[in-house]
Amino acid sequence: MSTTPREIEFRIGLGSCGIANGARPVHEAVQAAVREAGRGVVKAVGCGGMCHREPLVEVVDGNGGHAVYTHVTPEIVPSLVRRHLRPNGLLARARWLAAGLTTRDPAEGPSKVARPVVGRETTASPRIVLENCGIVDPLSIDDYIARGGYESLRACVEGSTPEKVIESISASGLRGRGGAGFPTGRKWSLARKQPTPKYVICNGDEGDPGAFMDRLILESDPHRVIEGLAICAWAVGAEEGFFYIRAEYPQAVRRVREAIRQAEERGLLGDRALGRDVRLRFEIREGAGAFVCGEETALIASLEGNRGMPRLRPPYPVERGFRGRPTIINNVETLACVPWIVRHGASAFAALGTESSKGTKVFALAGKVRHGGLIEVPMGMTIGEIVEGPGGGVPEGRTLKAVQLGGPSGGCLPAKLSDTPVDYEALTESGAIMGSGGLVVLDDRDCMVDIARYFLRFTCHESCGKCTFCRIGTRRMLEILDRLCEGSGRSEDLDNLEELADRVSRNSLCGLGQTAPNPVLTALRYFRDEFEIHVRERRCPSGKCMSMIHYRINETCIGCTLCAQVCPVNAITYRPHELHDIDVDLCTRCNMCFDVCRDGSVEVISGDAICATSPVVDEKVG
Amino acid sequence: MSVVTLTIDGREVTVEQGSTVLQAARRLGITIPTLCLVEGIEPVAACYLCSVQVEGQKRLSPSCALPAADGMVVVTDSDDVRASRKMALELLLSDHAGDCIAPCSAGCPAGLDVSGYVYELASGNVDRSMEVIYDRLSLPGTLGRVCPRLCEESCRRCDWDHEGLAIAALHRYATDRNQKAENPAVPQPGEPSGKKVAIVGAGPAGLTAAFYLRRQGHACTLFDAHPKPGGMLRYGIPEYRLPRAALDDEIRVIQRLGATFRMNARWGTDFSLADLQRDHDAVFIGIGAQLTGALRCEGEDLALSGLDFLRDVANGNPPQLGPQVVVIGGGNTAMDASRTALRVGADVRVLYRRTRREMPCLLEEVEGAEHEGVKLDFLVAPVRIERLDNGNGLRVVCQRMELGEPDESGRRRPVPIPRSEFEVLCDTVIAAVGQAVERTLAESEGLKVTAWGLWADPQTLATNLPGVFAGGDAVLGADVAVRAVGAGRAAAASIDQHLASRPVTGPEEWTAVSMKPMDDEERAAIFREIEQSSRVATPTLDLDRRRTSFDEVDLGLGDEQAWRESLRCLSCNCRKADGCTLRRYATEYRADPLRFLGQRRRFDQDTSHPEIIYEPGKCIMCDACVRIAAEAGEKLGLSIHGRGFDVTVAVPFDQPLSEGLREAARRCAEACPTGAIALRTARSCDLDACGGCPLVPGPRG
Repeated sequence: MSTTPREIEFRIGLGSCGIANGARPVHEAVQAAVREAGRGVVKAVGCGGMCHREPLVEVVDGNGGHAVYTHVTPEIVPSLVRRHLRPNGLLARARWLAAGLTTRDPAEGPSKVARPVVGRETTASPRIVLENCGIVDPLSIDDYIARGGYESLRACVEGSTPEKVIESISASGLRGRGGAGFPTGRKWSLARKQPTPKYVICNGDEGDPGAFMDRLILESDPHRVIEGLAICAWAVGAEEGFFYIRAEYPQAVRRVREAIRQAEERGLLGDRALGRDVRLRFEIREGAGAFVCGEETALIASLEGNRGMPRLRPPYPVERGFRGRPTIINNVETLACVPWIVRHGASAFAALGTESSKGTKVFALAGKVRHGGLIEVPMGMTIGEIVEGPGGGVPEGRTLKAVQLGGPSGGCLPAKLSDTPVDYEALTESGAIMGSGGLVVLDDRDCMVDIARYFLRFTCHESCGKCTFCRIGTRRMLEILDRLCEGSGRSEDLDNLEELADRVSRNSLCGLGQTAPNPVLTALRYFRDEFEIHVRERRCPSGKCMSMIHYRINETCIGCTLCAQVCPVNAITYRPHELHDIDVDLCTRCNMCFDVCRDGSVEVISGDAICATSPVVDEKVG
Repeated sequence: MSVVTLTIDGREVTVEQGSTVLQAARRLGITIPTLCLVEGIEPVAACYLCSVQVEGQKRLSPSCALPAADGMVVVTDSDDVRASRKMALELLLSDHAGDCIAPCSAGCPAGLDVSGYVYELASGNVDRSMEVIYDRLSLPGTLGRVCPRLCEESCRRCDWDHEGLAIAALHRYATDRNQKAENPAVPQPGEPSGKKVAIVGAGPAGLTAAFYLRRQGHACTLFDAHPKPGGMLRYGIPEYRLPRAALDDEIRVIQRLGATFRMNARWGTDFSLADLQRDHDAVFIGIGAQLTGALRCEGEDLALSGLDFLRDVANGNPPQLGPQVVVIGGGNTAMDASRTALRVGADVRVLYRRTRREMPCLLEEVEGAEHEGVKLDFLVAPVRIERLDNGNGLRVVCQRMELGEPDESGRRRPVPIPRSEFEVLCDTVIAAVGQAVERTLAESEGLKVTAWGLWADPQTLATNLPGVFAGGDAVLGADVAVRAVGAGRAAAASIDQHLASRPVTGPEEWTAVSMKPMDDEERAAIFREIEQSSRVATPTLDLDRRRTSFDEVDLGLGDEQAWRESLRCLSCNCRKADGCTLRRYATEYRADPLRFLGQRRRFDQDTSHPEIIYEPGKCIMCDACVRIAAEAGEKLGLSIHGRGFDVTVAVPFDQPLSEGLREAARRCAEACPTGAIALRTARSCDLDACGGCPLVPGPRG
């Protein structure tokens, strides 16, 4: 089936990212403009991955031509639409011509933004998980079916056996994308052997700071995940399933609910799914936003109406889960891979990746890179390749220091380990983890103590409070890191921090506590000297920790007053053509002078050392 | 398969399938500590005290919830496991808001359980009150009169109505009443151990050591150079402060316990340390600080030593002083000497080189002296003492001083003002400027000494010679009697360990948490239901009698006064101080409550429930009460609120505790491993004797 529409199609991204950036009025404006033009198709799609450039309008014509507009406002929509649509009819065309003479072109024009992996045309590997994202209308089952949707489910139910499907999933090498990487096929086959009734659950309780892969998939391609869960349920012999989605994802909840309704209406789900003796009943349960509910035993407790607190495994949910029955819990991204594997075959999936990690992985790329956003890369790609390729490298004048993978459960990989491939075992070996997909790039101005503190603060807050070590131990670790960052570290702090980190990770019931010390442990492992300088010299070598730095203007200052103009507390006196001066007592260390200076004149000082100097910006380029 | 076989600490055990590792360990007689396990209720694995090492696993596992599996190899007591448990306890202690022992007890150098004995006193139970007192104090009647009462300064009442409880007056009252009783409560000697201990010095340290050693059954002989026992209590403290009858009563208790006294026996003359070591299984040295400090001015030989003066008066041979007496010094001995001189009929003027603020004696001693007519001259130091030409009387040439920079004691150093000399004429000069320890004799017998006394390990009081222990002023330099009493008790504990050939570790003190510093909200929570009340005023002898006799000045509390005062006690110690599992394990694992000091829970008190008192600051989130309430079928019950570090246990929907726990309150209090939930009447009460106390609102019985 062809995926290229015949009519010119305007796709407006209406994921949460788009809506938050004002895509709704843009959508209405495009609809109005197209209505006026009398031709063209408007389609509300999900997110294509470039969340930071929303609102996005993508125009695809019948010949495969393709243009992307970023940061679109309703004001430029008429000209944008006009650019692609010559209206039918003499009168309309005359009006179109006249308008073209009086109105400017869209401010930015067709974007030349490189979308190396996100863009379907340029991607080096097939898009598996994000295959439909930004292309299909998430609320249209027809759109999904038009791109081969539900064929996999039908193929399973009508032409295969559960055992064969499980075997195929095993052969594909698919592993859990929630972070731990348990082989999905093995989980399914364990569940298959359990007595009925059993349950399947899609874990959509994504909560790492900065990670939004699951939300994007659920919002942009809900049917795909439903199909994945349906195949899972049928394969393991479950009749009932749940989508556990956090309530902070209202778009995802709404779209999955609507998608389930549509699938039931078409007879794809229900008491006689696909017209056969197959019962598939799915429900949505909204989580209240506790991070720990992403842990499967806590998730089950929450689903049962109890406080979301983990319990000791074994027994594993696959033996004793929801309501004490065998339960399979799979992550959104994992389930999104399933229809693709069934359709394209296990070997196609297994052809991608490394020895032990197959297929692709979706990452939320952020931090000190030129191009952030959501990317899907083949397993085995190195961290360095991701930063340089899809990320476009670190900004001018900065150097790569480390990459933080896996968010609060993960760790920092130093630049010298950039060759580490995206591979469960290789990443674990390095001290980081694959995690659910957060990938934050850090440069030389990032302080590793501060980064460790940032992630630990999150887990400390999100601990369910049950285990002694997780509840109090993480707090004490955080207090130590706070002291370090405030320049009041004590000589015994590092030893205590290390012992606490070790014992918290070895004396916690669930993954949250077990992995909470990881950001600290890896930072200590690779950047111990930074910690020691914080304690011994009461200095932050990266110039980040506010209590230990001050700003200074050096003699290269030309007196341009830019810094004085932006300073929010008037710590810099406005004196044109004179050397500026910062009142250290007034200064709040907001870094705005540093960012605005174009002459290399603002310095960040910690102790006696200059930690950073604002870059000299070439006027011609700037 | 209905059984599994596993190995725990190298021993195989077979248990039913479904048993936990902890249960399997119990089968082998191995006890694994746990705070959150409630018998008969599904385990939660929260406290992580029951961690064990399962072979092949990187992490430790909570044995209370871990199913025993075939072939499993478990280690329950490795260094790593113990270190883990210790840290778990240290973390819990760091977030535990409460006082295991009351601030007064913590402030007492002898560790007297003040709220314990005052509670018994308030309940009208003098016998039991004395039991509690004798557990820590050998000479409670004496200390009730002479103690500087550090406890009263720490009393929480000071925070509320600025007047600490009259703690010393109350144990004096209890002791005096007990002495007068028909069948007084007296401590009993222990079963004879066959061991002999020699005690050098029959002062407060030596007497106390004998008191506790006798209770453990060891034979004790006290050697003292003076004709009567009591040491400084008898020869350094004037009778108007400590009547000899009261002291004798207390010494008689120790005599009746079976201690032998060898009086007029002087170390170095009548016996040597080597003699004692040869004839005894252990020796305790409590010789005090008997030497007088030097005046360090010209003509100091003309001055009488304050200690000698007091001793002579005590022996009934008061020296001729003449009508005008000058006392030099600002400590307790100076006050005692001046008030004693007054009583022998002299006009007394005290010269002190600093100001009233720097005086190292009790404020009430200064006030008492002034009240009785002693004149105080501050910022004055003697330059020289001369005999008048006519031979009758002395001239003290003095110099005015001013205060300079603080010295090592933290007090401002007095500095002479040039050309400020003046003269004071008098008949007698008494020098009371400090005491020192006689060390040359000890040194010659091979004992290690310090700059101020004998050397002894601060924890065990063992000296460098095996079997020889030392304590009190002999080790610390001149200090207060209660510290000597504390040292005597500590030495007795160490000596008992030594005699039993156990490791000598000193007295076992339970680990204790203190909620200092408190914030305003905590203070408010503590005093929420407490009425302000003023301290009972103790009656004193009228002034005329005081000037002319050695009758006791402080007349002590009457029955009614003592009972009223005892009701002022806030019982600040934890209701479960002795029944707290957390504290017991913290002691066992030597957990340091201060290691992870940081932000902690707030102390608060919920007294709305008729049966129990809930103090959420002491909660360690073991979940026991939550599970018990659920199992008991409580409609509301309890639940965990919040997340992260700030989780608390509370009744859902902000309902009162009495709604949450309609049936299960008692069970919750009994299962609570700390004092977070405790029965209102945690202590046993003598209901018939009780007239109501702060613990049980309203009079009962």
